[in-house]
Amino acid sequence: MKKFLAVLLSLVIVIGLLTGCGKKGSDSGTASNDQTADTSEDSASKEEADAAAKAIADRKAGGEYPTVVMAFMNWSGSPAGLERIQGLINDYTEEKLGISVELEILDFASYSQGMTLMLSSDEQVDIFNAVSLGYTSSINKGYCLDLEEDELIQTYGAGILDTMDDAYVQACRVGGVLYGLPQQRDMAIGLGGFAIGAEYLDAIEYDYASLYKEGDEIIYTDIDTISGIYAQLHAAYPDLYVYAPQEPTLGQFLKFDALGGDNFGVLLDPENSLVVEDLWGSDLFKSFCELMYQWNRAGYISKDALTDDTSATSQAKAGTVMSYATATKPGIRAQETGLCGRDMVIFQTGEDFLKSSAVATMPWCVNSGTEDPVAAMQVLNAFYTDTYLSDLLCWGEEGVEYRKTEDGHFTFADGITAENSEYYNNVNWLMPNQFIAGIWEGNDLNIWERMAAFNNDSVKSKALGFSFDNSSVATEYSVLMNVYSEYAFQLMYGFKEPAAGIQEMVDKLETAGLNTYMEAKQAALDEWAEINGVK
Amino acid sequence: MSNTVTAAGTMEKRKKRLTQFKKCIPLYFMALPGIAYLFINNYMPLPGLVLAFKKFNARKGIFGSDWAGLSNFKYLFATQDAWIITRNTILYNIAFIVLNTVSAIAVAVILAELTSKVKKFYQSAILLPFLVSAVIISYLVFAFLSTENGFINNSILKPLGIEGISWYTEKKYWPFILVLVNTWKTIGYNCIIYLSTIVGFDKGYYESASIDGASKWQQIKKITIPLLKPTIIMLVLMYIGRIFYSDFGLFYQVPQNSGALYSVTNTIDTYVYRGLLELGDITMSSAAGLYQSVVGFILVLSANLVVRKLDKENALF
Repeated sequence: MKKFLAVLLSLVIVIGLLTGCGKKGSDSGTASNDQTADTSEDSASKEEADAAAKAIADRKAGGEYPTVVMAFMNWSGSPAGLERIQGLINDYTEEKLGISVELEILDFASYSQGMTLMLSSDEQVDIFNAVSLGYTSSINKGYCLDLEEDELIQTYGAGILDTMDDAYVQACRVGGVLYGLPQQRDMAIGLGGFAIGAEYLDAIEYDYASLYKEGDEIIYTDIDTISGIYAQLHAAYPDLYVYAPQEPTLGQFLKFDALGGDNFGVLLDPENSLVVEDLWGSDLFKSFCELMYQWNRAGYISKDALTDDTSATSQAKAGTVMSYATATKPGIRAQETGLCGRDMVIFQTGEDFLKSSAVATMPWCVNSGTEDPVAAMQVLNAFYTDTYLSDLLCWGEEGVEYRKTEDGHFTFADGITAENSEYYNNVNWLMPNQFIAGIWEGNDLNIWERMAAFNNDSVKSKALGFSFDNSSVATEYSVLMNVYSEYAFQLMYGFKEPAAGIQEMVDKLETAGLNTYMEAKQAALDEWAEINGVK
Repeated sequence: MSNTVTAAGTMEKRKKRLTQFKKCIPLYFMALPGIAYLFINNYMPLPGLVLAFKKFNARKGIFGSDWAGLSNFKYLFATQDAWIITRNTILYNIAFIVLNTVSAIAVAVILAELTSKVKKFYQSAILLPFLVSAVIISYLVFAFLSTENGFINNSILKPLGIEGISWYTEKKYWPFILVLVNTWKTIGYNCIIYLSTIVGFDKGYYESASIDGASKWQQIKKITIPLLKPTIIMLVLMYIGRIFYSDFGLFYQVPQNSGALYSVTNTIDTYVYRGLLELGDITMSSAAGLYQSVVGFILVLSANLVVRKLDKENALF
């Protein structure tokens, strides 16, 4: 026992020593932070009208180019051609801005964890995308710089403000402060979309070709028509599954606004009302579950659907499933056809809808610990406004990864495919401005105009721009999520009888603190509405 | 005078210690990499435990962040699930400790009786599942239990005229499935230490016992098991220290993360993982880790205390 105590004692001493060291380290860290804040203040006060140009000239005169590290995710991690593309970007930015750029590309699965480590340690990251990290939680943890600090964005990022629709920029404010910038992409979603393989429709002799209104890629119809088609498909192909259920379908099928991105406390009438209501006890959810239950009973859905997490598009590609639900947008037909490797026909049963959280899901942020916010902002500005840089970032090097076709599209360079390309950036919707980059073959050349119109014409939630910081009710949230996983999938995939199942789930959610959570959401929404003058 | 004598005495002692230390320098040197590993991996991160009591802010750093009191621990206790996850974790672990120990000893005793060639084959065969990743095991189990294409539903229940069972939504079977899978998976590994101990026993005991006319069963009961006692106590104590932890792969992957089974498959580890997967809150996960370690530490100490009361020689410390 004595020996044990001695060991314990020495341990305590060692820990004591270590904590001592740790403290010192963090002190010096804050000191250097203060310093950078000072210098940025100084420079901001000195800069006047042509501050941006002067900053560039100063850097070039100094002869030493600062490096800006820009981090984002893709599906497959750091590409083989990264060094080369980065070199090309550098040649250009060093010439234009006097800044070197380093790209830090992590794959989707490790992005959140990797970024948390990089941002909370002293590793250099200047610009990062908040996707999968969570925008509000990044702000809460102090990762994001106030972009209007000393008029940073007005002075050095004027091009961004010119390019982006002001409503979308404003939608990224949290607590009145602009911490991030949206990118150019599809903001709205077409609700109630279904993709069905064309060959199966041909086989049941369903004449879809005549249903397109001129110039459209989507057939607008209602849910009874879909059910009718499914019944015929099931009769013709009893060995194939008709429908592959997926988790996001709930929010892509029903029109409600999942405030802050979670389904606990939503706007059931998002165009007109700012009253937070419960989705799970609503008729809307019940009707959805009843439809799915009916489809499941009819044998449209695999009995292993609850445990099978293969994506619906892969199942369609493998030829085991004929149809699935999807959110629609301009270009959806080409996208789904590409994903499934077969011709897909797109139906839509709902409206085009813009949710409150759609804009600020994956904004670009500047690290609060960056040593040179001016350089970071100027790099961001360049990626938002410069076609050459956007082409490089989205598609790689001309002649190596892509080539231009005669009609002005981009396509793979000779001998290159998605598999052997050294830089195939499959996340262009994440990039600052894909609208100014080249358009890939298979898409209409006017796709971005159509996209902008799609975003503008959609039904907009009244709470557009509201984001919810759930850290004060994080305990409730984690318990609610457990109840959600226990019941929601069985109900949403039609494995549980809706009437009794929903009641059971609602009871459990209520004991888990759903009302507390909804009250917190309502209070935050009211406060937000007050500040932003929304009634 | 007496002062100088004692001074000389301590000098002597010091000298002795120094020479002993010098003698052992090569040994210390050899231990250095291990100590360095232990220090870097197990002791250097310890100050980070302070995170469990903080409200983390990257700008302020780990040690500069504001204190949050015990609020990070709240979600572990303040919820309706707290009872279920604690019950599941402890009951499953108790079942595992009892079953694994009994089955491991039984297998070790049987293996020790076999001839060496066959023994090696059997030993490798039962060790194999332990080396297989939990994800693969989950799909082996799925091959048996799949509702649509599973072996049990199609090849056993169907010929018997029984309707297939939707295994991944029926709670009542899972406590048995999980215990069975766990035993199958770990038995080969658990028996290694027992087997090596048995092999090391003095053969003279058994020879004289058989001369006295003791049967095989009597030999096992009267010689093998009593001699194994210290090993059993040590291993059980080590298990008890981890009673608040659970095999994440077993409870998360093997039931295919099926929501309908949560009330029988949710343990502290899976609960924390699911809760924090969405939140990504490092302070709450450190709180959970600290809680598990502290409770495990207390349990080891108290279990050891009990052992020492009953049988002083076999206590670990």
